[in-house]
Amino acid sequence: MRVVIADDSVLFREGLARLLAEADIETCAMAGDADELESVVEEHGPDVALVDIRMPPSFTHEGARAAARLRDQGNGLGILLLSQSLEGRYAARLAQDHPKGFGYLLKDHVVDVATLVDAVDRVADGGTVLDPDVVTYLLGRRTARDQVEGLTAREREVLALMAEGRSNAAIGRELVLNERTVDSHISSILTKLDLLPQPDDHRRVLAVLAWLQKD
Amino acid sequence: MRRRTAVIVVGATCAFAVAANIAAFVFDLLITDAERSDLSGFGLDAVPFLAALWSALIVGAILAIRRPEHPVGWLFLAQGTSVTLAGLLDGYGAYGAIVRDDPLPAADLAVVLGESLFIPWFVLVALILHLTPTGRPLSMRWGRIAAATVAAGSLWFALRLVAPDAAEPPLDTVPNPLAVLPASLDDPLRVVRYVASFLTSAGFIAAGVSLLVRFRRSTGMERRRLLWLAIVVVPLPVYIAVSFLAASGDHQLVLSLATGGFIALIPVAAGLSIAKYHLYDVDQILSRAVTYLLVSCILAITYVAVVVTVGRLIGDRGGSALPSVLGTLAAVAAALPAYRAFQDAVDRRFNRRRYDAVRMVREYVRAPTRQSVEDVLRTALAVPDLRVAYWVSDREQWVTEDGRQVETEPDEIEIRRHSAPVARIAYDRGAIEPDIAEAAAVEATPELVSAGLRAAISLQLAEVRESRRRIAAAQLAERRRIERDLHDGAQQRLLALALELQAAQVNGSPERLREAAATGVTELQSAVAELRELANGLHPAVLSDSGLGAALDDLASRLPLPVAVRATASRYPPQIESTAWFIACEAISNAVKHGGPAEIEVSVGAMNGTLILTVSDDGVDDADPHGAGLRGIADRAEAVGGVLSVKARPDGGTVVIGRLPCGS
Repeated sequence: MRVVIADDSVLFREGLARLLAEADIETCAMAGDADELESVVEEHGPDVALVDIRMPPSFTHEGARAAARLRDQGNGLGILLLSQSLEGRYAARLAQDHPKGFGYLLKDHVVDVATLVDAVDRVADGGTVLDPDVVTYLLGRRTARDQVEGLTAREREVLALMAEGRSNAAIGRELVLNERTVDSHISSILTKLDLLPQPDDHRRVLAVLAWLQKD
Repeated sequence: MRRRTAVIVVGATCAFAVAANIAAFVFDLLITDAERSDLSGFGLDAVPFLAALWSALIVGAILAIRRPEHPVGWLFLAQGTSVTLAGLLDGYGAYGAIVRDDPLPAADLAVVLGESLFIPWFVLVALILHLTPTGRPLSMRWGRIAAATVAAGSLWFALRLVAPDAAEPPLDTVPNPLAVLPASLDDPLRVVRYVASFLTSAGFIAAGVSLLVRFRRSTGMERRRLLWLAIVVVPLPVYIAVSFLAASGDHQLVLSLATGGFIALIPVAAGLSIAKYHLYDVDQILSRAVTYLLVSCILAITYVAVVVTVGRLIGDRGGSALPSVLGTLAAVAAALPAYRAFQDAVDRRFNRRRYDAVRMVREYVRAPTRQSVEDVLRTALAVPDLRVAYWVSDREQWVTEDGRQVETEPDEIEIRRHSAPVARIAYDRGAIEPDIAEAAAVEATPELVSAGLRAAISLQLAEVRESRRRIAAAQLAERRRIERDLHDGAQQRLLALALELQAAQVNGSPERLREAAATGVTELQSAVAELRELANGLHPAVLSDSGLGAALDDLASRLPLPVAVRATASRYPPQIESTAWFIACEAISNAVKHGGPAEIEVSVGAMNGTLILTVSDDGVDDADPHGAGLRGIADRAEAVGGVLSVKARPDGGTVVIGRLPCGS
């Protein structure tokens, strides 16, 4: 597994590289801004790019836009966006726009090495990763909250993990359930939320996010 | 020319004209008494001349008083005077040089002058036609034609004065005392004289053409105003022809009727235009003249009645001053009410628009409605785009009633009270006569004053709103800056530290963990220092702990250039200290940013409950008091009830002075 890191803070990207190294993930290059990121990706052809959303010069969503451009080049690069602050709706919209091989993780959670490595792996495999805090935020919005009232506590846990982009197997592992039980929870949730079953995880994430986003 | 001067000149002219008419009449009586009625000027043929004379004098007098800067009034007066003078000189000359056995002094000169004075009439009438109604010729070219006419007329006049045959029958028996040129020049000069007379007549006709051209080009109101004059001017060539025929064929009566009639008709036509279509804005003056006449009559009658009655009652025949004193008092008491009553009555009769407008405004001032005074003036004058601007003296600005700044022109109607401007009123000059607009505005003065006060309050409110908005914006910017400082500084540092410790933990070797712990301690210390700096910039602890002087000293010690601080250890309310601190910081950073000073002086002192903070630098550039930084601290100063002033130092550099109420 080879990654590149783009972040304007030298301290952070050095620290992140050392942590990834300890977890046997090779950081082949680092970048301080969006332009540099594009050139190192072209040069090194990494599996995943870890990109800070906010970068110079404007400190708005430079990183996210650069990542979107890289994705559109279609070289199977996984993108893991890192954010200092929680921008729930923006993150959900990004995930909907680029479901395959896309992740959004708060920097607070990067420190948790298991979460980090799991996210990098899933993004590299073309999966979707949405930070649990974003999902909590989306579930906590008034319109969503009213509708998930009808779900059981267990079903709500499963829904949250679905929204984070986990597969059935991963959900089973997380909640210590066997896959058959997870399946039945999921079909119950889909029925209650009036969603159609989807053939793969990505589309399922999309459907769940669309549902969570609606007003 | 001032109106006062104009009144004096016009009065003198009219008095002279009356005296000259009477004198001419007396000479005529003397001539008739001497059985020489063939020399009499006062026959049937004098009537058109008298009409010409007095119509010109009256119209001229009104115009000259009303609009002293307009030349046409004075030209009419000159024209009337020239006719008067001709009559007087003819009478004096005929009596003095022919009737009397021993000639009166200069009687022969009077004959020559009197016989030549018809030439200036032509010139004056030509000028009047050129200059009506604007006071300027139609164009440069027409101006040159007018000048040429004046020149030709002057030449004709001069040559006629020195011609041996200047006097017409029956005065031709009087030798011309001015005919001093050699007889050999007679024939060539006669030719020149005929040419000059022809040119003058041509110029006269050209003046008529100029008026017709003006009439053709005019539209709307101006066209209607010129209509009467144009009608008079159309038969002008016929008059000229008749005059010349009559003059050559000795038909004195026809000549008088033609010339006098025509010259009388121009002022009469002008008068008609005035009565019908406000030519030269004179109708107001007419109505006022009628008012004054009526008031004078009433006062005279009051006076006489009181004098006679009181005289009879006390049985005194002129010995006591009491009747006249009482008569004067009664007349004085009656003056103002009588004037008011007549002005109203006359306006109602002759000047309905003015009467209605003033009455509507007066009604509103007596019992104001919810309507604004601006709306009332608009309705009263029927001018929908009328705009009132109010003077806010402490800001030296003209503003609308809702406090918006407006541009005004000095030629708008200006209402003043106690010699200070109150309001300026702009309106479409074509829509209403200035006289009526001004009368209505003056009537509205009390309401304009109170609306002006409201406007001043609105202006202040608008300024407060603007200042609040700026303070809110400044706060937002400040929060963004703090957020960036936290994000780039301590937060990144702590996050990096967490990553490092996590990495060491994953690695697990004791050496790696020791190394990480050592790095961690250093990083944590740096983060703490950064947070302290940040907090200090927001509100330094030394400011709350030890006061403004100590905080400024601390600030000065950390700046890279010499800052002299003169401050006591006095303490002030926390909000005032904090505001003064901000002002000092911003003023200093402004000086460093723009002026490049060698030294900065900061002083703090309190006097009569006001804290005075002075930041003075010797930099090169003048600070811009409207720049964001200085504007921001001015707002902060105003928010605590203080003021900030920014001045340039005479020797270069800037002084920023904040005065904040500190209650001690």
